[in-house]
Amino acid sequence: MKRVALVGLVSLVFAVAVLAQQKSGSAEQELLKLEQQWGDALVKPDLAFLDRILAEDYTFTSPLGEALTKAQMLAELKSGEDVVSSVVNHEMKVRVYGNAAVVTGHSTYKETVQGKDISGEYRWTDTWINKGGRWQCVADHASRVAGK
Amino acid sequence: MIRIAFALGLGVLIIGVPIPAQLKSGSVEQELIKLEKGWNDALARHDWAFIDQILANDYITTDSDGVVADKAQEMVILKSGEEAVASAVSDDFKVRIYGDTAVVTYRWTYKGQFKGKESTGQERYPPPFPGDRGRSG
Repeated sequence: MKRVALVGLVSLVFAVAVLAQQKSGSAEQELLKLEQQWGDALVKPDLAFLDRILAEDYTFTSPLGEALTKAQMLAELKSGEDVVSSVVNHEMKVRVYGNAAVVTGHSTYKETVQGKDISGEYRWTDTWINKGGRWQCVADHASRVAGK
Repeated sequence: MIRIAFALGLGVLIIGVPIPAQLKSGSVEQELIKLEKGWNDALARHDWAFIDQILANDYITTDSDGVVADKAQEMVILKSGEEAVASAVSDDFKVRIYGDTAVVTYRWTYKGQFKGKESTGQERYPPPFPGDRGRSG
């Protein structure tokens, strides 16, 4: 009886561990996809998509230390002040901590702001929170890679 | 190097501190601000044990030149004296709490040396050239 119980317990622990691993893996894939779609949405620009994935209290800390809100980011894209013509992501890494995740990456941007070409390479950190089964980005920071 | 270079802008720190349920968000906020200030003090006092304690083993930092360092690399830079912080002050804190995760943003001003040269951080807001911002979120 004890052996049966032990085998049952071990099986349960194993199943929970496998489930947790799968959940974490799927979260990772989902976040990588969202990051890719984010880049695509900037190029289109698909403001409805950006509105969905950015939390209302989203903040972006720019390479120059500006703290920008979601409304400010969307307004610049909507007005055409900020035009992104291509985004290529590489070296993305996802770390999941329960309902939170940190994604870091390196991207090459072709972009103009107020007509000025600011194309280059950037390293960034995005913090995501899962609210009711949906991931939303709450904080974002980017640094321009020196000389690139 | 990492924190010194990053001082040119607003800093973002993400802390995955387990937050006891009995603590109200106000006290968690105060605890996190205290940790941030303690981090500054530890840099000036060379209290590497404190920094080792508050940084997770998978901690990473990205400086304003886009250089990424993990915890081990950051500790080596600090201990080597390559980055020497004489004083550091954080203000304009904003703490947002999401369950057991918190996002802390702040402005960081410092005085110190980097690779033997005097180095002082300054806030830049609003930016002198809006077009230099780079990367749309």
